[in-house]
Amino acid sequence: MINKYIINFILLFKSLFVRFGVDPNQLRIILNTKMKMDDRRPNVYNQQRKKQHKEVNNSSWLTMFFLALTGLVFTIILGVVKAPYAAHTIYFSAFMVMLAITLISDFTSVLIDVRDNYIILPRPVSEATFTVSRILHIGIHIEKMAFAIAISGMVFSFWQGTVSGFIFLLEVLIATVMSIFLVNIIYLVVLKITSPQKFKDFISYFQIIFSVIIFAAYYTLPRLINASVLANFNIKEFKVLAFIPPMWLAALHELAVNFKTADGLTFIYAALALITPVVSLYLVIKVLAPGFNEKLSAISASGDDATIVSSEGKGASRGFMNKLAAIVAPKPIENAGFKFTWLLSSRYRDFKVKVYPAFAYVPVYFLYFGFMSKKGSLAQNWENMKDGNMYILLIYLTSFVLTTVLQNANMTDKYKASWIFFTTPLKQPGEILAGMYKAIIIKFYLPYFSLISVFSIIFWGPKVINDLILALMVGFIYGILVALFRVKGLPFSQPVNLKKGGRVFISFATMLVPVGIGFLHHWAAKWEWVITISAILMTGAALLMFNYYRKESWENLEMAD
Amino acid sequence: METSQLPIISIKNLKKSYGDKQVLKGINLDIYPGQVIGYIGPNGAGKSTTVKVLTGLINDYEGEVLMYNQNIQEDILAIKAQIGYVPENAEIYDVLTPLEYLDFVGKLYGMDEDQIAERAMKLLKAFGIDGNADQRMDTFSKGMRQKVLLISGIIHNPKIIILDEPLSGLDANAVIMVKELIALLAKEGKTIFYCSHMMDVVEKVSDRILLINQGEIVADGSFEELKAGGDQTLERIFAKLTGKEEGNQEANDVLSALN
Repeated sequence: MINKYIINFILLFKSLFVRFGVDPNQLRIILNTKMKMDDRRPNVYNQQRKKQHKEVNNSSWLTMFFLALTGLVFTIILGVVKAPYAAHTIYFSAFMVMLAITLISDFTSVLIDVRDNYIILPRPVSEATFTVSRILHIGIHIEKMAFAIAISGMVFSFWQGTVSGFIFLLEVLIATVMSIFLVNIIYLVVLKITSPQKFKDFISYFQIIFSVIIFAAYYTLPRLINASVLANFNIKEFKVLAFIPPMWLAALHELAVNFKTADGLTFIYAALALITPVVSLYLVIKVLAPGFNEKLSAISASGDDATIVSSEGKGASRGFMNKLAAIVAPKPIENAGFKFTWLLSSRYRDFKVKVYPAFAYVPVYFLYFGFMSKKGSLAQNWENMKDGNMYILLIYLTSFVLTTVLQNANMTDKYKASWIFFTTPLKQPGEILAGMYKAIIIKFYLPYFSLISVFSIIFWGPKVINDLILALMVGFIYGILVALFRVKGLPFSQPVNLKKGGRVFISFATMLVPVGIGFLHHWAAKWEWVITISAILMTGAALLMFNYYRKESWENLEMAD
Repeated sequence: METSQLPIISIKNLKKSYGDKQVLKGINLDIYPGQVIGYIGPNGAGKSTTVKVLTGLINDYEGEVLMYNQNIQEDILAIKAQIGYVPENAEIYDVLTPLEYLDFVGKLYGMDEDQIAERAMKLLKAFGIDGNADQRMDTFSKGMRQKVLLISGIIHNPKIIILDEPLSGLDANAVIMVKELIALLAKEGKTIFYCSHMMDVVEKVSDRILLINQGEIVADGSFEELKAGGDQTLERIFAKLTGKEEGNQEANDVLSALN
């Protein structure tokens, strides 16, 4: 077992750990157990096995394989960008960001395993042992990932020369350590200053903001940073970048390959690269870690019991949401579905984390397809966009929000609570679904669409109003199609990540609907009367479809085992 | 008992607040070796908080907690090594097998591998789940997991055993077995701190019952003493002391709400 060798290697530094107050034997067994559990934890790459009720083994190895593929893409930067200083800065920025994302997404399952509070903390394990084991565990976990991402870059660097190869190894090591501690320090600091309940929210919002940034960077940066510009540009001129650790790492490489021409600044950066990991280790263990565990147990102790008094939850018939529900979904079962979806969608964190980023993706996609991806200068594309009918792209992109909400509205970690649907005499689940659909439309789609509409009217003028109505109706119809063919489940009733095999074709086909109609719309946009008539027809169609959807029967639904 | 001179656990004026809500309002308590303490009280009375203080999970409290005449805050690790704890919420690393899990827990107590393996097998056999020793626990029923948790709480042969609803999910035979086990452990001189809502079990297993209500101990004594010559069940005494004597009335209210 490779895990065993890794642990043996770490315990070579036994005396260092003992100085920090760590019990090496306990450390060994904690690490060993945690790594064993990681290998058995189902993840994105092997759900299929889990579904077939096979035991999951070696799941971390499969993840590594996919990360290695991503790493290959990064390596291309190293090859393409001719200035090594800039190339290394970019490579390690991508590298650290990738690692940080992995770390954050694994955080709740690996780093804060609340079960630790009941299983490890009541045992005679010192705080130092516990903290160090936690840091080392995540360290090994990340180091494996880091290795996977970096393997192609490593081969490339050794191919360039032995020195640059070894320096690359050093850079990877330091980049990894810094990513770990960066994220660690963020969490520790946040734990120190906020209450446990807020901490959970913080993690979710952090994840949301982070994924939006990554997404935006992925689509826009390549266009903004032109590779030919980078080749001749001196990255050191950008003094702001001095605060970015990848810059320091790149300095290490620069020193190794261009030692003679290196200036004082490069030496300072290189020194920073070497010192920072040591300093962060000290900070985490001595300054931030004490009290961390108690805070963690407070998180699990308080759980979700914090009094969530929201405007929606006041009594059974007061408050905005209840009044709204009574108006748009007056039938009792539909009303139940409406309120259920509305309330749970604001309270399940996993739902929010997955859905909220979609709102930001739309403008990013729009900017990307609208003018970033086109040839010609940005200013020129901007003018073109204003004169043309690009608003059609924008308003059809909003259906992406609708799909995302719909796809996530039937999944949750707490799906087992949905037994209530199956033990109550519910004859026609379509009524619940109709309520759910209305809640999703009113809570998520309409406000978002209105915002986009206001923007479009200001930007392109009132002539877009009929287009907006048409697109909205198409959005409704598309949403129902998605709900009918792809999301066949009651709200919040299915486990997360259950892959739906065998329906790739249908899901692809449903995606073609808004794309196709969008193009038709684009083509027909010059005849205003066509748009107006289509808008009226589509409104009728949407109503018909909705009535059909309302009659959805049990036979057509998918249920969790 | 000659040892009864020296309390094994001694709690003095223990107070604990969450925010401005005071959960424990000055608990005073001496527990002697070999006692089986039944710790009862309504939801939110402060039972779990007391248990968390005793197991070292909560450190910021007012007052003093002594075990073996030593303040537990001085050397919490030495204290934890003497305690076996079976938590209420049944958290367990369920991708492990029982043997792997017990090996893990045993080693945290500093036991050596062979000893753990031997004991674990014997204990699993005694609880009737030795056939599942090498299966991952994610497929286990609640009762089977509870058995593994119970074993993990006693595998290091602790002197103090803290059980929080240890019978949840167990079938009738296992309940009888655990009740017997508690009696035997007490006879061995172990001190058992038993938290539960199941009054009939507490009534039978405990030789001293503590009733906590709103952060204060409102009754302390053997079942006989609590009855005070009357012919009541523990349930009745519980209802009386926690101010819910009119249980009949409440049941009637429930019924009338349906009509």
